[in-house]
Amino acid sequence: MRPDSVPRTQRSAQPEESRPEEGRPETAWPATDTPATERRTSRAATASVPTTFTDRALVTASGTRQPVVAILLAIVVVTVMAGKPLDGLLLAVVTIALARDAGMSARHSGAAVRSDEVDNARGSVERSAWAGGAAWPPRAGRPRRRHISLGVAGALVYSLTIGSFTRMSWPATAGVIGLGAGAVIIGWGGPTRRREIPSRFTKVGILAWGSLSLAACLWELAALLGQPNLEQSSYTHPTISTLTDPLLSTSPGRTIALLAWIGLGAFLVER
Amino acid sequence: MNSHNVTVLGFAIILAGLIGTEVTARTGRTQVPTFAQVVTRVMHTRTGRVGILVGWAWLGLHFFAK
Repeated sequence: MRPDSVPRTQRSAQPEESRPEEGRPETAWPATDTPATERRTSRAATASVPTTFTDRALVTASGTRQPVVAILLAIVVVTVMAGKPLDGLLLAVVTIALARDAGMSARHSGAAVRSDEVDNARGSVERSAWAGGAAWPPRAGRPRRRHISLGVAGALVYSLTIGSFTRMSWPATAGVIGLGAGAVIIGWGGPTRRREIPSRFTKVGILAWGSLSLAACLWELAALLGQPNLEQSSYTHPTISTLTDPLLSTSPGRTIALLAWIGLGAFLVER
Repeated sequence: MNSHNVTVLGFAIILAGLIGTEVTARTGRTQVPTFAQVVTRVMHTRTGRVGILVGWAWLGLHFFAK
């Protein structure tokens, strides 16, 4: 991150020791805990652990304020309404876990700040994106060629195998759930690669990507609501699913689509 | 132009907009971030990372699974 691209208020809120050095990129790897930070985090965690069911529910509900969690909850509702209860159930389970995690993180941050005020320690609290630390240290560079070759070969075998099954069959479902769950578990553990985190985006950048994403969602929703009902597709108002049906109805088409899906997943896991 | 074509045209325009934004961002002459930068920024917290990966997994379930 370029120090000059950070707003003055944001820079001044950071303690000297946790501020990135000039020219050194800010990475996704959590900051190393100092003993003082550990003490504060531990005390904050003990003080803020929910004990009753109501408390746990409140923590989970507070996590739904995170935009990503709110979007996932909206997808859960639409998925169940569209007649895909299994998708909806799996997504709901992970979304609730994520909401609880987000709620706990927010609570720990608040408790750590309060604890820090009592401590009257130096500067503000060093907050880690991964409470309790990541499960593994991220790599510094690209994966080795041997690993890339193995990954590509595995993706090919997977796509050919799962693509050969009938669409919406149980074997295809099991294969997709297995890979999807694996990626989510890896994501929960932390970043796999050390990367420079871009500084906050400008309004132009947010507007450009945000408006296009919103337009895509609204257009898809309009097509979905234009169908005779949510479970029956329509030629007059085709959704993206309806438009991709001809491609996904053939085995080679499914193989290509699965390869694209895996490629996107690999791109995301490497972020 | 019938409703089918209008719907498809809408998707095509949005797709063209997304590609255009990415191309514009990659020139480096604007303040618009690339798609990779947006995703990296969103995924720097656990909630963002897991949320995006769950969205990706849901995409696979939606198109291929029961």
